[in-house]
Amino acid sequence: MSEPTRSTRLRPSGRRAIGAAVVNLIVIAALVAIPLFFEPFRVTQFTQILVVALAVMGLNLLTGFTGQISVGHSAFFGFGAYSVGVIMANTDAPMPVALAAGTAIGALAGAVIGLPSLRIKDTSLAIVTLVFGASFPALVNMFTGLTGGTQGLRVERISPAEDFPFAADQTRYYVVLCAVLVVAACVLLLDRSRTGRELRALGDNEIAAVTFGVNAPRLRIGVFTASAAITALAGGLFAVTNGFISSGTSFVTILGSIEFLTALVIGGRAILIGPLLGAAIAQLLPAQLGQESPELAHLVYGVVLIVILLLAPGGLTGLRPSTWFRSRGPELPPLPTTAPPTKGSTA
Amino acid sequence: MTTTRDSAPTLLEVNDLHARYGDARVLHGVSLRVAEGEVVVLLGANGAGKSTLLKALSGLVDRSGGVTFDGADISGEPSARIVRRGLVLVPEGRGTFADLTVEENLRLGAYPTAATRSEVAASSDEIMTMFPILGERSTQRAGLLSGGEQQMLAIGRALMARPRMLLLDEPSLGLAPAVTKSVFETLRTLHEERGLSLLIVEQNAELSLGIADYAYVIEAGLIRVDGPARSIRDNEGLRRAYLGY
Amino acid sequence: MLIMQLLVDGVGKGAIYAALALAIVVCHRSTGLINFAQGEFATLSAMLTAVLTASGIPVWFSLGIAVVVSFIGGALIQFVVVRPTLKRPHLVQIMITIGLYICANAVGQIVFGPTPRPLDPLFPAGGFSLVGIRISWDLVGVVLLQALVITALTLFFSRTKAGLGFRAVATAPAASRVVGIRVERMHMVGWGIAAALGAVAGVSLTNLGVYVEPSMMTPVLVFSLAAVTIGGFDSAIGAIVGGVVMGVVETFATSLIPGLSGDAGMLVSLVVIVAILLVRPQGIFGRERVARV
Repeated sequence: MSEPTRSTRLRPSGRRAIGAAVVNLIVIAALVAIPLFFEPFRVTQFTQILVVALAVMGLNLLTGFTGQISVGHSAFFGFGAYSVGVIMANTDAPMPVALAAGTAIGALAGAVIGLPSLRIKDTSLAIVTLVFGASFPALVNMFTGLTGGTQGLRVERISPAEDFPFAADQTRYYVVLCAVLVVAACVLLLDRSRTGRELRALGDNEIAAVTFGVNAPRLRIGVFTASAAITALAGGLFAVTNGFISSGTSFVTILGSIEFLTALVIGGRAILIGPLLGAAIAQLLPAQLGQESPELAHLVYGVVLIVILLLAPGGLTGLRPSTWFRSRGPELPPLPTTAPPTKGSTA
Repeated sequence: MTTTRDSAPTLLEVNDLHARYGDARVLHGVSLRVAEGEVVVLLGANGAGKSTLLKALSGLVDRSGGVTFDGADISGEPSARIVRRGLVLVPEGRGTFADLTVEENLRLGAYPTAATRSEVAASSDEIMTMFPILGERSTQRAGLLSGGEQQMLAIGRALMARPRMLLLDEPSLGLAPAVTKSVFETLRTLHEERGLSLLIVEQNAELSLGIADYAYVIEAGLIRVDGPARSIRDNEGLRRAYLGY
Repeated sequence: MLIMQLLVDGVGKGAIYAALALAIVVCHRSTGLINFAQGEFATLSAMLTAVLTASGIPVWFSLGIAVVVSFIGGALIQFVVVRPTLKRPHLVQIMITIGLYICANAVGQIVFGPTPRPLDPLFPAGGFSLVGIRISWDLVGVVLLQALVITALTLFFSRTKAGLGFRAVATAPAASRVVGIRVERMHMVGWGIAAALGAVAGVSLTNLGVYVEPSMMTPVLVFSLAAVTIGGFDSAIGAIVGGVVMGVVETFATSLIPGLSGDAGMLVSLVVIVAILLVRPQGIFGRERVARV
């Protein structure tokens, strides 16, 4: 019966925190080791998973803290990707500058979309973000001269210096991994801060939160901005690791938004592992099944999503193995035998 | 009348009923009985589990234990079937359909029954005659009625199902004393003229004991005291301890 | 004259948006949930109609079968997948409909295939000219068909016992349980009706020159969602007005603003819905809900 509510911390507390920390360390170690043991094709695939995980972490900031659904994060991803692509194609700006600019532009887009969120909430806002996400490819196609439209845009990829100890695919992987870990650390700090508590309060009950002195407008725009910035950074990293973007790239269409959302739901709200797990399943499941039939892979993916929602509403990381073998208990558990007598005495 | 209680056939019998509301367990094994044509009042403070008991009887909350109505076991039945059997709840705070008209509210009272359109119209006319104010306002939205009018509407709506017994949850809640009095007058009339059995949950002990044959006092999810209404009213110690007047 | 022509074309498109928007509103009124898969359901219904027509069944009859099958399908899906989540957070429920979107889209791809196929027209070809404005019979037919559906639906809600029950459940679920309405069953039937309305919307769309194919309803869904958002989630009138407004706005924007074409109309609709929602967050015809602490 215990439903994870928004008031639950994103980060587990108490004794479980130690366990979570150990798991996180093992995962980080594994993430660092992965490119050393796999062929370049796989490493590139894993890089893409990290990119998606980063985008999902951005979405998690918004949805996990405030409970607001965005179906428009593909557009933030797209703003990041295209800003980086266009800047690098048209200027001499070095890649880090382009990435920073892309993140900033994504943040700006987030602030603009966050502005109406002061007044528009819940389903209405979800639909506004949906229309925003759905219009992004059209926006790209409007400026074909700059973006290449459906033909696409080549972007210079990350390439290691000559004496760098890693190969190109490994270098790209590690760059993205760094971004993922830094962002995860920032979100963790935010979660433990006063602002994090205020955000959760806002998500639970805005009126009550405001009564207790939470500055709702500042927080709402702030969280939207930060969330969009992270996802835009993911988009920028996608551009410089994939080397090609077009208005048909699924991550910048509404399908991207759907993938981020489903990955978030499948993975659950654990700050690092949730998005990673969700992104891995979202990427690998269709890729593995898709060799036979991509449509079938989508069907399986949709069914997996629904089954997880029905059986494990907290996502995979919300599952606690200790409860797996315990039945949920009857609707009305037997009362303690110490209960007072049930029959009333006559006056 | 108390003398008829033991000889009259049982209409509602509740045996060791447990119920919960959300995550909280509210009833811990309540047993009580209402005879055919009897008025029973259930007294108790806020949070004692009175409303939950009525909801449990109506099939609106998770419950376990025995509930027999007119000889049939209704402990596992859905609310629609319980209404069809003639056991109808008049919920606390009226619970009318604020956005629908008075007339539509009444029609909804007969929703789960098999009554035809003309039968429903006939009952609706009958109730508007009984409560003229509802007739006057039949096309108004229920949310615009006064508290007392809404209480009448809720009772009228319950009568549309042609019940044998009404469960009334705090019919005096939020009403002015004069209005409360007229609500209880109405209930007395319904009881006397139609032979309706009533199970009334109330905080207003004085008024409700006045029309009741028998009373139960519930506290913390358990029946603490029960007895003929008159003897409870006359027992000063009991009144002080449980009823606070 | 161009303006009038665009207006007529816009209303035709708007009728389709209104039709799907109406399905979304019916679904929301019965379960309080926006079904993001409503458009994909409509696509499946149109595909079924196309398959039936291809096997020699007349198109109107095929549409009738598709409406019935969609009703059953919608109700079944609600029962199996949505109903267990009704007490869960809203986020979970919305994600369920997104999962249904993915599944329905994949089913369409697998069963029907990616190749677009035309559907036999419901209405005679050709059209007429009215003071210089070209009006096709298709357009007249589509608008009339939607008007018929809307009238039937309005009569159902206002005149029948079941319709009264629906309105009761939509406005006061707790009181509905008290009087003995089976709220869960109403939810199921609501999804069924919504899916049936979607079938009409999907097939109507093919009469405006769109071929049956997977994702045919995706842009329609976006505009229809925009329509219900500006009209108000619970308002049938709002869905119709919102749909027509969206159709007209899109047609005007893509024809009159240079550089805007195709899906770029969505950008304009984005501006329109944000502007309207900023003024009236509950939509033009929506009722304001009282916030509770």
